[in-house]
Amino acid sequence: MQKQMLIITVLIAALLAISACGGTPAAQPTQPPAQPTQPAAQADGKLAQIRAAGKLIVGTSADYPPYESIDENGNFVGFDMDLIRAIGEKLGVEVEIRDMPFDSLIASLQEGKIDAVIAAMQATAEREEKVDFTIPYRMTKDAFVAAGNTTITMTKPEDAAGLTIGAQTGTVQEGWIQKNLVATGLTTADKVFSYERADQAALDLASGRVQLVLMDAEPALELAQKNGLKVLLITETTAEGGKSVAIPEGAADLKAELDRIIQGLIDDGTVKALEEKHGLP
Amino acid sequence: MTSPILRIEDVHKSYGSLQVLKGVSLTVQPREVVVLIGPSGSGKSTLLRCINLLNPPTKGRIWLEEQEITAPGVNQDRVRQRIGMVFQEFNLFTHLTALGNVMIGLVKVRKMRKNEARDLAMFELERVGLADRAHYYPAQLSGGQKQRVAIARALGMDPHIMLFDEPTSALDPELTGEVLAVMQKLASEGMTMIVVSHEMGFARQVANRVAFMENGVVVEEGTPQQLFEQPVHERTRAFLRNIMQ
Amino acid sequence: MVQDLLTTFTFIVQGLWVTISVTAVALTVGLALGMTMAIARVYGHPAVQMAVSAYSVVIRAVPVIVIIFILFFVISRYINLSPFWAGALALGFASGAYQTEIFRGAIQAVQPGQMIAARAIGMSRLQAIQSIVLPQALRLALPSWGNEATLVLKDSTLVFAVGVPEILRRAQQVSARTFEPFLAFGVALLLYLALTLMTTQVLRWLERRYRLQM
Repeated sequence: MQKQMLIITVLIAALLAISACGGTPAAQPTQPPAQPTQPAAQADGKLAQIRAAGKLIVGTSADYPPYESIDENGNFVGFDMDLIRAIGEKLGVEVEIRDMPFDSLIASLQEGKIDAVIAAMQATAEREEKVDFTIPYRMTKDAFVAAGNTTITMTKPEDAAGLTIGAQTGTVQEGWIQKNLVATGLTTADKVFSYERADQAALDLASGRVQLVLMDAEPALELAQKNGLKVLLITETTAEGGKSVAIPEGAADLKAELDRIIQGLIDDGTVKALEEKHGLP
Repeated sequence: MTSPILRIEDVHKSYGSLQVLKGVSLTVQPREVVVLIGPSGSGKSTLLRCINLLNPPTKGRIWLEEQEITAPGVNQDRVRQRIGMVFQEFNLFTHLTALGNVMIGLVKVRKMRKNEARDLAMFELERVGLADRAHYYPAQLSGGQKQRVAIARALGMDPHIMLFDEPTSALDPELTGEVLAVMQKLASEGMTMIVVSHEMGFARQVANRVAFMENGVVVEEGTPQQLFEQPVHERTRAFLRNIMQ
Repeated sequence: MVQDLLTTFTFIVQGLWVTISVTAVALTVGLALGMTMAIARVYGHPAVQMAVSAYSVVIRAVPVIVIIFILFFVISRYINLSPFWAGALALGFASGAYQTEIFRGAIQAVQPGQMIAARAIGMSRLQAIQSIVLPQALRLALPSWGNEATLVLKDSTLVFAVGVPEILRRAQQVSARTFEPFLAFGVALLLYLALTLMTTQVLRWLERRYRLQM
């Protein structure tokens, strides 16, 4: 057993040696030269490093329009892409974007392969354990959807009181309904419906079984368009959290600077303008 | 009297508990042709492989031209260059032409330049009468032709002694003649040869000495006449009776 | 429609060179590793034989994607490996294990008499392996090697996991933008088909050219 372990150790050492020989490529067909690896532990001072390099390397997963995708000329386009370039401008550095699968983004950030991630990513508790997040640059929004021929009008979420309403099982939206409509007595429990999938809710809306559905705003717009439904209200009130830029854990200086820049871009209307440009609710 | 070219002294060879050679001694003079006869499994082929150290003896000593080749620290590759070997199954290199088969040893072992090697290889092929088959692959040659190429390949190394391990046993009867003719020619040119063979006619005509082996020992040796006409041992007689039928 | 096809094609085809490079590097690394280890496996010291077997067993037991991640995320903490090289080398290490088995089989299929005859004309073991056994083993290995080459070609899609934009990833990108997965993946399929056909044709030609006359 010990002998086998020894052999495996030797093999790994040999692998290392071999990869060392191959590790200094003369020609790299597609990739820009890789940055020297930055140990994950040395995250503080990250801002200074980025400024010194004059370049912010950002990972994304370019298959999620209108946030991020690649146009026919191979350019990164979308809301997130425009935003990160605006951030880079304020930071005074060039922005280099790298495409990879969504699932590899956090690991790449942890290993110092990239400096930041912008990929319509939400700061979940699970992700917070591995990396840090800036303040949200775009709050999640929900939509109240009704049948196309509805006569209901809404100006605030509480206008849903007393109407039959549906949401997806286990979602933030369902929680909001229970807490703010049912628990407060505005709506009786028998008027609340739970759906496994959004398209099932759409069918019930069309058939009149349910009057309203509360769901994520972006799929709601798509669903409404496809099924001839009507979006009555888009609101941040019912939603939780938002999309943030992920940065290495402990990079306090970078977080402070990005938070300041993002707040500035929200305040001066840049974010709003970009949302409109990309047709985001 | 000249010194012997090969001296074998009390050679034993065993594979595990199987004893194949049980103390063979044999001396060969330069230009001598010795034919080894005996039933299969008597150790003839094993003896040849001991001589060129393909299977070194487990006990006993062998001298080649005054050098003890069984001594520790001997460069066996060098020794083999001086000993040509021809196999029953030819063992031509299948990926090389006849010419390539002869050339490769010249280039890789004798370190000759390519064009020199090609000239010498052609000369050796001419010697066995196959210059016109130089660019044929082994698969395109008849058995007899293959064996003649194998002989040319061995000759190319300029051996001081040649070992033949049943060179005609794998051949159709009508093809043995051309191989034996080449061997006879070599003998007449003065090549020292040890031949394991069942070709009694060849032994009678070409051999200076015939040795009869059985059960891992040389039972009896002598001139062809002595051995074939007046064998001393009963076992020799029995074997000869068997083979003549 | 034709216009769509053309833009889709010109976009995806840019990944062709990446796919070819990754495959070529992986096959070359795998060839060097496979040949060396096969020789060690057949002719080496028992300890070496054991080490090679261990490598072969371990690597073949681990999914290629895991090897890619290990190289890109772990090994490259110590050695600077770009995504391209991490991916291509990982595929090479994996293929090396499979090629070891291919060449081991081929070496053992060469008739023992060939080695004996080579030694008999005074070649050293190494010379005999080099000039007699290997040239024949390589020819015997060609058909299986061709199969391995097409497998590596297909495995090359995995390098996207570390962000190398090869054919399949480019197809995903187009599909995400145009919402026409059928067109995008159809083009990718055709490109892979063309590459596989080309590979098999080249290998078939090599096989004919160097066929062993038995």
